[in-house]
This record gives sequence, structure tokens and C-alpha cells, in this order.
Amino acid sequence: MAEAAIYVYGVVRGGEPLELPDGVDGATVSLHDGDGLAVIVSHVADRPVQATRRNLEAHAAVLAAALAERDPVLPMRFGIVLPDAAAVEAEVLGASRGELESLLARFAGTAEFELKALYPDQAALLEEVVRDNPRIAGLRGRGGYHEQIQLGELVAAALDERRRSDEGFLLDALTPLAVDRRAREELPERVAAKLSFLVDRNRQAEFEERAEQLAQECHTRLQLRLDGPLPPHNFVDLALPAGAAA
Amino acid sequence: MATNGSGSGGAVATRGTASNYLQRGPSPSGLADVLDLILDKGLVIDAYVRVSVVGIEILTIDARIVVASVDTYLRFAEAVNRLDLSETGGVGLTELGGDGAKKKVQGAMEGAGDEMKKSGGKVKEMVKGGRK
Repeated sequence: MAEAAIYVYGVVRGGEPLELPDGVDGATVSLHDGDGLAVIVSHVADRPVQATRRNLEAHAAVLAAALAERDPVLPMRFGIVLPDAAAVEAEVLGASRGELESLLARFAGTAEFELKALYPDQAALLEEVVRDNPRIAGLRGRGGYHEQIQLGELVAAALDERRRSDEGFLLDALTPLAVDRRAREELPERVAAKLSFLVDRNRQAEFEERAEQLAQECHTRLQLRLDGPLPPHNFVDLALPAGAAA
Repeated sequence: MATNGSGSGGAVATRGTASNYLQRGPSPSGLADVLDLILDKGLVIDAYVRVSVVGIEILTIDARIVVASVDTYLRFAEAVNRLDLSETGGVGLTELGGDGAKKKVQGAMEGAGDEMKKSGGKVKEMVKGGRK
């Protein structure tokens, strides 16, 4: 059969069925229960999963919906397909049970928040860089190739420094309200910082309020976006042992 | 609304205003951010990762990662050269010295024939002024 394989979204504690949206390739999502744990699954064709926008969003949406009903949710990476239900039993509920139990305990009562800081006006940012750096101002408009490379290098360094300082500002403000945090190192040009915070649910309101204050404090130079609560995608970076892997 | 200093006095009022500055979502909405969240993060059972990324639109301009390279440096240099900093006084003049302006002026000089003799001095002055 075409829909013989099983797509795996994540793991929660066992219990009542959850109200979940349709998943990858529009399939109905259900729980595969097993002795206190439940794996969030759907049927899928036995071939690689297309990383389309729709499928990626479906994966994320299923996990977010699960979190809204049952905390904690251990999210799987996109695109994990097991051959059949027996493999779910063996590879997830069997081989990884110990790991999963301890992760569920560790992430109980927490959620991840993603904070992204954008530079709202790149021209204004570059103008600042020129004004603050006499060497850059001096090299500006000089014709030579090497001078231009040097100019570019200086600008890149100045932008890096600016990023580090903006990221530091955000981390200093929010880390005290979080259990853990991660900072992305490779960033697109317009992005000043991309941070993940693991937040205790009891302090969630406080954290969100602080983020709102920060957004106001720095709105002329940074535009902040906060997403969450999310499952701890950035904090369960772990390879599960596979038993009888193909 | 009126009282909204940096302090945290009236929590409710401050919050009502502050929230206008924070974009808020349940989960990331841009494709690059969704990818960043779930494509290589989370639990994994290595032997069973089966993803096809054929045709995926990852490399949008917005998602372009800054890489240290000559190309990047030249692009930054160009962006900085292009800036119009006229309000700092005089710097804006260099804009006139750009290739475009020079070509235009040269064209005018070549094509104008006799007219050139009268206005030539003026044009040359412009070119000189523009280049400084």
C-alpha cells in the first residue's frame, strides 16, 4: 500500500486523545499509545517526505496544537518516517523509552519562545556605521579595488560588532527570566539576533511582559518579534538510539 | 498612554502601549524561520530521516546568511558608497561624481560642439566639484 509508512511528529505522555490538525500530506494525525508514552503519528507514503512549505508548517502546527493541550511535547525533527507501527513500538517506545521519560520530566512545565530582532532600516544602520567610524567614512567613495575591499571588511566588522552588542542587550534583559537559552550564530543580513528561550510556565507572563517592554525601549533601532509558546525544538537536540535500524 | 516611561510603574497602561511594538505570534511564520525551527532541530532517529528538499525555496533574499567573502565586502562597500549623507554637509556631493553623472556630463561635452566652448568651463567645473 502507498500509505504504509508512519510519520512521527513527537512524543507526549499517554492519555486521552488530542484534538490535532491534519498533518504532513494532509493526513489525519493520531496518538500511538504505549505504556505511559504516546507518539504523535500519521500515515504517510513510503518515500521521502517533501519539505514543502505546507508540510513544514503542518509539522510545526501539529506540535503546537499538541502543546496547547498537553505539556510537555518532545518535538521530532521534520521528516522522520518509520516503516510501520511495529517500528514505532521498537524504535521509539522501546529503544528510547528511558531517554524520553527523562526528557519529559526535564521539560515539564516549560515552553520555548523564539525572539527575532530585525534591523528595521538598513540604510539608517549603514549611515550610523559611517558616522561612527572615521576610517569607513574616509574610504567611502574611493575608487581602488583594494580600498573597496577594505571598506567592505570594515563595514562587515562594524555590523558584526553592532550585532553582538544588540544580541547582548537582549540576552541580558531576558536570560534572567528564562531557564535556558540558545543564540543562533549565522544570521541573515537584516537580522540582529535570533534567540530561543526555554521559559518556566510560571514565569511566562513576566517573560512576555519584559519582551514587550524591550520592544518599546529599542523600537527605533530593533524590531522585535516573539513567537511561542512552542515545544522545546531548540533544547531537545538529541539523537535517539535506533535499535534494528534499516 | 501618556505615562509610559522606561519604568514599570502602571503595569497595565504600560503594557497596553508596549505591546504595539512587539510583533507577536504563536509560531514563526516565515518559511526560513519555520525551517530553522524544525528542519534540523528536535529529536532525531538518524536512520529514519527521510526528507526530500527538491525545489524548496530556501534561499530567499531575506534569508541570505552573511558570509565573509570578497563578494560580501564589495556589496557592503557599494551600499555604503551609495548612501546619501547630505545632511552631514557636503558629503552628498560625491554622489555627483558617480559613474552615471560623469557619463552624462561627458556626453554633453562631446555632443555639444560649439556650444561647448561657451559652457565648457562650467561643465568642467561641475565634474571637478563632483569628484572631490
